[in-house]
Amino acid sequence: MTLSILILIPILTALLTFFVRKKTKDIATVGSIVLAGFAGYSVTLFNTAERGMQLLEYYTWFTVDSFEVALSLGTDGISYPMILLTALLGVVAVLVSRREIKKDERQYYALLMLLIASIIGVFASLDLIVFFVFWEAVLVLMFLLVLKWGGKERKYAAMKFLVYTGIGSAGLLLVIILLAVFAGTVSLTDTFVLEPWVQYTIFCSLLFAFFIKIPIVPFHTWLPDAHVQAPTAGSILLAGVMLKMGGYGLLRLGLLVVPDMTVVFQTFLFAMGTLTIIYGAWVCLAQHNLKKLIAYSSVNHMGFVLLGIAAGSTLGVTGAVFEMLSHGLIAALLFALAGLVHQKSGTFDIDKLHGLVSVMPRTAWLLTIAALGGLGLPSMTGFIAEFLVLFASFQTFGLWTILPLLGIILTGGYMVRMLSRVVFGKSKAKLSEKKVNIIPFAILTIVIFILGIFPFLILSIITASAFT
Amino acid sequence: MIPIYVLIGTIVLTALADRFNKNAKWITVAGIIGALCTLTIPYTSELLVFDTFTIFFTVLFLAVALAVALFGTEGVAYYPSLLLTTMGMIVATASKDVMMLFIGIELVTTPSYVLVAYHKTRERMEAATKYFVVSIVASALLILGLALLAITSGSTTISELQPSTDPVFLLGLVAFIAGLGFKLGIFPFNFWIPDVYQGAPPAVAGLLAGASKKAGFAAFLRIAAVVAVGLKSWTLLLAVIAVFSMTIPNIIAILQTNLRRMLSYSIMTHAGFLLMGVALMTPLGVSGTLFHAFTHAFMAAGAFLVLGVLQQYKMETLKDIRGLAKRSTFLSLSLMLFLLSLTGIPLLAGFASKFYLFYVTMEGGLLWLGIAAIANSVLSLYYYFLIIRAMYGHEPKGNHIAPPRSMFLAILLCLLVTIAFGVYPQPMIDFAVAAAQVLF
Repeated sequence: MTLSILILIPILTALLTFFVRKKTKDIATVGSIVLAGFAGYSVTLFNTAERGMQLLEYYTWFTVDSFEVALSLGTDGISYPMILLTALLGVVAVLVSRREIKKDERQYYALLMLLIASIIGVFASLDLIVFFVFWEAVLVLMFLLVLKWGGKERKYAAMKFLVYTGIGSAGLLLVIILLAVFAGTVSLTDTFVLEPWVQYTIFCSLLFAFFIKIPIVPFHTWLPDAHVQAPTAGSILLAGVMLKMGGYGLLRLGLLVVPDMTVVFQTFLFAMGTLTIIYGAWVCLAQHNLKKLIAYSSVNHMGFVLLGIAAGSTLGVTGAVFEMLSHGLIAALLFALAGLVHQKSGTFDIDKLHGLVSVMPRTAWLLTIAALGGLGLPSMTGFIAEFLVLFASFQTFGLWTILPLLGIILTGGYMVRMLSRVVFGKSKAKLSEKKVNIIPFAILTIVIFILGIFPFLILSIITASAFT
Repeated sequence: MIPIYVLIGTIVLTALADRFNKNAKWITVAGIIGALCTLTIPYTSELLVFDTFTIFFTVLFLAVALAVALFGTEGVAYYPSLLLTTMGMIVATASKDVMMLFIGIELVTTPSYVLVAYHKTRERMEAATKYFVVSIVASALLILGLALLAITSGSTTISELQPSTDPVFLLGLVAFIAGLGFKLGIFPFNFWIPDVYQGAPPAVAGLLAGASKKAGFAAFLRIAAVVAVGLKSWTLLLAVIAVFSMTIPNIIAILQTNLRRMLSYSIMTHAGFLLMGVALMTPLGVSGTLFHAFTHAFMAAGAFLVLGVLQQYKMETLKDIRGLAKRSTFLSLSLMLFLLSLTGIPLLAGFASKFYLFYVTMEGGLLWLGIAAIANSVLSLYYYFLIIRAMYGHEPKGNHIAPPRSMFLAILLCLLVTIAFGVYPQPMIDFAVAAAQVLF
């Protein structure tokens, strides 16, 4: 029941916020804290010694022709860290929304809570149709959040997000139907026996579907628009966990359904990963919009996830999952801070945000920490993640790994450039950080440090994955 | 057969209702519910057959007619015409004989002229005239086709039609497909649909799109089940028509600003989807078409009913409905759900039936057709979301809108069906499979 409770808590909260017309914010906050608390408790139920899926649940939904569609839930070392991350970011997202969102609060928190439930559902479902149900729910909910509570260009951004990810979903749907037709099952707990040409078709449409979601260059252009226009909580969930749905999908389906193909396409995946790392960092160097910079840095970091998958080893997969977790935390912190800065100063423009440290010292220091985490400073999660991925890449691809390493240098470059402009110096603007709720930022920072210093806390969960 | 008698009785009552100052609407509603209740009473007849296939479609016709009747309008001839066309649909679906089938189709079309022109305005007269002219041509082709099929087979009974490669037979088949193709709105006979659906009263357009068209498909399937068996090129021909039928209107729809016109193109696209199962002509393939026909009937009718309410407030284009979300939660939410269902977003009936239809198509070996259908689904996503964006992405201009209770009920009926079979599609899948097996 553990996983279904994790999905039901936010759904219940959504219903409560929508139908109880008072204290909307407080209900949402309590709901998200209960969710995070239960997620924390569920760690004690997760058996790290067990290989393969656990916390299994199975309820038959309907049968079509020869295969059964079931609400089949389960988790392993790949999805469980993502579920925990979603629960944690849920609290952060609700907390940062409390001051930012002023119109239609009931609808907003209800949609936000449903979004959290759907994301957990994506990570927890073992049946591909149920997976697709949650996947599409995420798409529609995010579209509505950006459309109603986004920035100035929100209508354009929402449509662009919808079109890109909608095309991606078509690829996913094709994969599911092909599996139903040629393997006779849509359950990830079964083994798939497929002819080579079917495997090729499935893998290509998988790449198509998930490259858009991750996003991998050149399918990334929806991301900066969606991010810049989304409300802060939307950005946090978008960068924090929704991009991970792509990486997770590639890991789960790629390695479980068509494992041979990841070997066949290894060089291609490496090339795309490297391209994404370098291009993402390169574009960051030219950004003047703080939120856009963070968005492109997400592109940059998600490249490492693909690199880890390309390496194809246990270490690579572990590194990819850890990178997703690490980036989820750091990007969430960066976006939360950017949202705070925007709330106070009314701008995302890096050139106008000079000398933050003199007026908003706490914010400035947190931003510095987050940026350093992003560039991979040891003692924070980013370092462990990138180290693991690059190490795995070196084992598989040898000296070619120098190319993604170049990306790291660029990452350092743009982060330092951003810090030197935004944080340091003396500001003329009159900003104050009174009445700022520091709790969400503190939570994230503490978790980033704890997992950076004691990575085995989460690595012990990841190595329980099905593929080790 | 009993439901037909019940409907005839109701027609008489509604025709007289005006004389005795009774409300024709509620008589109609009661009559349709009565017909639904008497559906499963067994009855044998020389010309009509009440098997699972007929029952499946009759449920669909009566339920859509119920929603349209509930939605209602003022006037004398409206309800009798509505009941008459519904009765025609049942006859067309249940017919054992080609002549009966033709009579059924005519019975569907003729009262529709009245309905389309109802509360006559210039626009509606134009639509009705267009509909009339196209239908006459279509009927001529249809009866030519049916006659040729019957002549070469030596019998007018559908089950005794003999598939052959005789040129006369093939000519008959082509005339039949073309004739029915006009009525179904499949490529290349679908040019008239947007004008008529846009011009007609929206509730009537909902009836045409939701129910009348499905009656055409039912008749098509009855004949195809017999004649398609021996023809090699059937699958390819129909599959190609399906691809054109779904793709071309889909592209045009993106350019539309009038909501009813946009929806008409979407209806044409779905006619293409429905053809996929007809192309396969296997029990599984037909069950896919049946399931999608059922769910599509309620999404399409529901969406048109919402537009019907909006029309009363002079909201016709994408621009007019800006900020509708604030003006009426119910209307905007239900329209959004119908559109999401048409797109194929999960937990709504449209996803279940589309997924099932695409699955059976690919399972049947038409992989490319399935892929084309998925691509079209994505394409349609764009214009459905243009509507959703207009409703939710803008600040409202204008007052609150509250639809009258009966309209509310009519939309709610469609909405409940759309949600129910999305959340739990099993009964409808089983029903469709059982209905499809009767044909073979």
